[in-house]
Amino acid sequence: MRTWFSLLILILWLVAPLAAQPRGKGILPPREKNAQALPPALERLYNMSPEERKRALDRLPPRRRRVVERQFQEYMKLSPEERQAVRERYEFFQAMPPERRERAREVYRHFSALPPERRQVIREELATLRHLRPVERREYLRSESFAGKFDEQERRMLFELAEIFARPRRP
Amino acid sequence: MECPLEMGGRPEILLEPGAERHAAECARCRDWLRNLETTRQALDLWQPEPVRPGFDRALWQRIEAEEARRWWRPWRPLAPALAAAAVLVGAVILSSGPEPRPLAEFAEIEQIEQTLSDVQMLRDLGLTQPL
Repeated sequence: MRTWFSLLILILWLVAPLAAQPRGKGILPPREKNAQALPPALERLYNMSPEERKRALDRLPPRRRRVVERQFQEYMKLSPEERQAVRERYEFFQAMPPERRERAREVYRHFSALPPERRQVIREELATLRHLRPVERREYLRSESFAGKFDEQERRMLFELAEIFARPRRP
Repeated sequence: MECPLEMGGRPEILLEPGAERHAAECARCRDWLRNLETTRQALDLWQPEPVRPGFDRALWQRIEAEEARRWWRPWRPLAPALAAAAVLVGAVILSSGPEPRPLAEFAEIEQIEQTLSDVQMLRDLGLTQPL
């Protein structure tokens, strides 16, 4: 009986540190109240232990890995309200048909290749276009004032982005 | 001849040749021999039950089963140590979690990468501003 009791104590002593092993610590801030504002895939990354995260990131080539780390850190620096807005917009984007999402990514690749000042102009124009009704938007896109501000490639880009990301309207 | 029963000796001496003379004179030894004869006659009348068919096979099966049940007995002194080792191995397996699944993990990090890329696109296009 005494032998069994001693063994039980020994086992508990050996196992206790394993059970108490901390998880989820790393470069990221401690878990916040708004952690649920992360898209599911990012929440998985957020909840990984440092070892798990390193192992996952190690599977990417160095350049892609650096991009992922930078984007994730930028995302985590957003305020809770900004993060919530991103998540809502991301969910809206995710609900689109796959071919529409792929088209948006393709147009965005062209957008990314533009100089920063042109990107800013297009960004502002897109915000205006998204708020127009479909009929108004088409009319505006055919107008001379619009044609005078953008070249052919930019006009096509804006047309497509405005169609893809048109503000949803109540029926 | 002295009485073997009174002397506390061996009564089987009464069965040896020449003992009948003493038995003729000794009532106690006569009784002993009479009782012995009665028991012999009763044994001669006894008929053992016939052996059931398959008795030998069943007996050997039971013997083998009993032997099989006792295989662990030589290990019995080591049981506490073996139990402790089993618990430790279990704890290590549980703490180390499931084996890495390279393909699944690669798919997961690619999904994370795609999500971040999409989020970046939405932010770059100014689409994350409140509507």
